[in-house]
Amino acid sequence: MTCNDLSRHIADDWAWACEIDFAAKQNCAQFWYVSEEKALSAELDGAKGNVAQFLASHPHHRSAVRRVQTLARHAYAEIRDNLIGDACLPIDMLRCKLAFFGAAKFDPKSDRWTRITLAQGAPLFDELDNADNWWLPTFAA
Amino acid sequence: MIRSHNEIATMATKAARGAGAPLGHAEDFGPVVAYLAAHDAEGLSCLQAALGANIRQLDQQNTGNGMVMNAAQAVIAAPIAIDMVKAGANTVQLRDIDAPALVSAYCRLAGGVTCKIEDDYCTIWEFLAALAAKTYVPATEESRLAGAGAGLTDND
Repeated sequence: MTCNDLSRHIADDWAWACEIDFAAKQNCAQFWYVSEEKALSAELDGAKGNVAQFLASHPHHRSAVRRVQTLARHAYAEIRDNLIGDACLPIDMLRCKLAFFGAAKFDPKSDRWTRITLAQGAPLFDELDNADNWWLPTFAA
Repeated sequence: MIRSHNEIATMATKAARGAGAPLGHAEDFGPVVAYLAAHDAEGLSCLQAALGANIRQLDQQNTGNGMVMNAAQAVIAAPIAIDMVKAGANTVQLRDIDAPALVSAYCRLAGGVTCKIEDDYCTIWEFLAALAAKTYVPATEESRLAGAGAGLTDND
């Protein structure tokens, strides 16, 4: 991949991240994730050649570049939101991720964690021989 | 204790980060250590050499169709060398490499990259765990009151 291609992917897919003012307190109110996208854009300006050469000189951008290249191929690889902004509720991401695992009966305890139920209705060891149609059974309310 | 591939890769990733490696290099390091554990457990002895010293800026010079890296640290140099080869470089030379077995594992895992070790003077779970612990944020009264899992026991 050339540095020009990388710049184009950042402009196409990451404009939302580059437009956030990280000097504003409300946009970095939470600590769990450090966005490197802004710094990357600045150092990429004027860079020529391929990304391998760029990363040889800027190894601290390796993770961010991987994310840009991954998102260019997989549209759902990233949560496109400011995860350290004060409006970010971790519970929303938790619910989405847990839903992929088949979690049910969400019982949020705060905006940071939730009680869930996994594999309810799944067969026990001695029921595996007759275990059709158990996945995600309909729950009683 | 039997540990899964995923546990080893995750611990090694955090250890590299704790040792000061850039995040992307730490992400590359974890799966390589898991690969070593599965395929070349003796090679794991070089991890202390790989992560025991301060992580330094890469000392590199471009050559005609390749690159030379001096006093190379595998955790930094190996992913860059593989990038360069995949991007068309003919030869990348890593001089005075701290952990040759690790470089070899990086190359095998990447595929399509030939690794030739000319000198081997490669001079760990607790070691990795101690470095990984550097990435953890200590708990505070505030975090206990407001963090994830706070406020209730799990047995209500």
